[in-house]
Amino acid sequence: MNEIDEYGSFDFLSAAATVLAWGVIAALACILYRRNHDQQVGWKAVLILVIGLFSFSFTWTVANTAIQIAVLPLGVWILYFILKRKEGRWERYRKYAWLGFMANYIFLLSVLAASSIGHFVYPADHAGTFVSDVKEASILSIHPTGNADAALNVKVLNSEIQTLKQSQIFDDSWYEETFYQEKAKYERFPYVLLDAKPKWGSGVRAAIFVEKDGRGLLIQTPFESLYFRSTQSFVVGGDEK
Amino acid sequence: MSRHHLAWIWGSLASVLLLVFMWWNYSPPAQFPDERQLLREMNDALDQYGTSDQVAEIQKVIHADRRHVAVPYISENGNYGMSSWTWRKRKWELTSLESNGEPRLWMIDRNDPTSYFLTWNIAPEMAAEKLNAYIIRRRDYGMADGKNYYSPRVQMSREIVLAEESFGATPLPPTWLEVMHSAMRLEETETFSWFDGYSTAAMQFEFGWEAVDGNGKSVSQEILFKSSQYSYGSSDYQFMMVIDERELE
Repeated sequence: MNEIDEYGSFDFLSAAATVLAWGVIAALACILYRRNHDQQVGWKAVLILVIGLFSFSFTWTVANTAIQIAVLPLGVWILYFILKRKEGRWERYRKYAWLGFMANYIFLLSVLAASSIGHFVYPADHAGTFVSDVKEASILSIHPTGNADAALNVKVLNSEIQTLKQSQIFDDSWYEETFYQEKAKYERFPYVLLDAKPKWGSGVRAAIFVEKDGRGLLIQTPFESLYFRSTQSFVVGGDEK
Repeated sequence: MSRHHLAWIWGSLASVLLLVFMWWNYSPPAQFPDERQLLREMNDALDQYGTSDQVAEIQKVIHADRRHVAVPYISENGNYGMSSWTWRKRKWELTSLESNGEPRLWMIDRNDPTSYFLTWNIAPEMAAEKLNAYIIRRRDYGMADGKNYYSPRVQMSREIVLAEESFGATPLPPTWLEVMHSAMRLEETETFSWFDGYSTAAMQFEFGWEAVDGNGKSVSQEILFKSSQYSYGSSDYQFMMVIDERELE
């Protein structure tokens, strides 16, 4: 999907953590190799390591991060049954197979590290994470409540981004109002914000809607809805209140 | 035979097969058949289908993309119908034939809204003046995982003036595509590129239509279209629901 790649920004921390994790694994493999130089295992050690990675694991999502915990070393077992048939072969390759399995935990650590750093660098309660560069941004009316001639005031939005206040989405009063609005054929968020870029390296994906009065942003991420209010309107020509 | 020879034979065999496969699937389509041939193929299909109707006139040949063509037609029984053609297996194949030109959504690739086309064919003597096509996504709100969520209603329309175009096949307006893409961007991209499944975000959008007469009054579907006499082929089409004005906001 080109359209999605185009918009999805690059997830810098995850990429860096993955590179670092592979670096650590490669370094450990080198150390093992040097210590057992006399065993003549050669490049096959790499293959054994990769097969050793194969495991049965549990996956769950903590704080919007998918975490995989390896439980059963399937790759190691397979290698054992294949390699043990020749005397002494399993003993030579064993450490590389287990290093492969251990690599699962090195990856797990790297994911945890990237995710916890990410919470500081790209906080989810901050609109600037999702809407950072608005130079090319525009709004589009998606409901008759919106004014087709309304336009985004890029300058105002740009200066407000850093100070937008997170508000309670859909509290009781809003709930009642929405029932009332459904009868009144009114949409609270009649504009979609297009071509706003998220913070560099955050890798976040979001659909962003603009409130009728031009002062609110509704940000939908794959995990949640967030709502931010500003002190002045960043929509012009929308008959804002 | 030496090992070297064998490898060479297998290698050339594989590349010939690959070339044939590429030619079969990816070579550019031949020129679209002329009207005479279209009429013949459509009437053959109708004969096979066992209907007494015959195609009388081809209204237009509309190229949706290089491999897909829509052909609206008028039949001898006075049906305003729609057919679609696909370049497949090295020939132009008639993939659907509908006696009734009710507005439909032609989804060439379900996962790519830029390949969706609105198609319609309405008898010009009908009272309808305009056709309004709608894209709608229902408002959604509630609580999930202990967090409140809200998803705005989408309701956009495109007006088709029937005096100018009583039939056609037109891609979705760019504004509709923008909204659909912004919803699809939220999906886990990995899952739907691996399987050939549908994009659930794209499926949340509903497409509908409403016909209006000169006084802005809605014209009912029963008046506008004869009941369908035959419908032949393809599942790439999706019926568009008839919109009741009370449902609109």
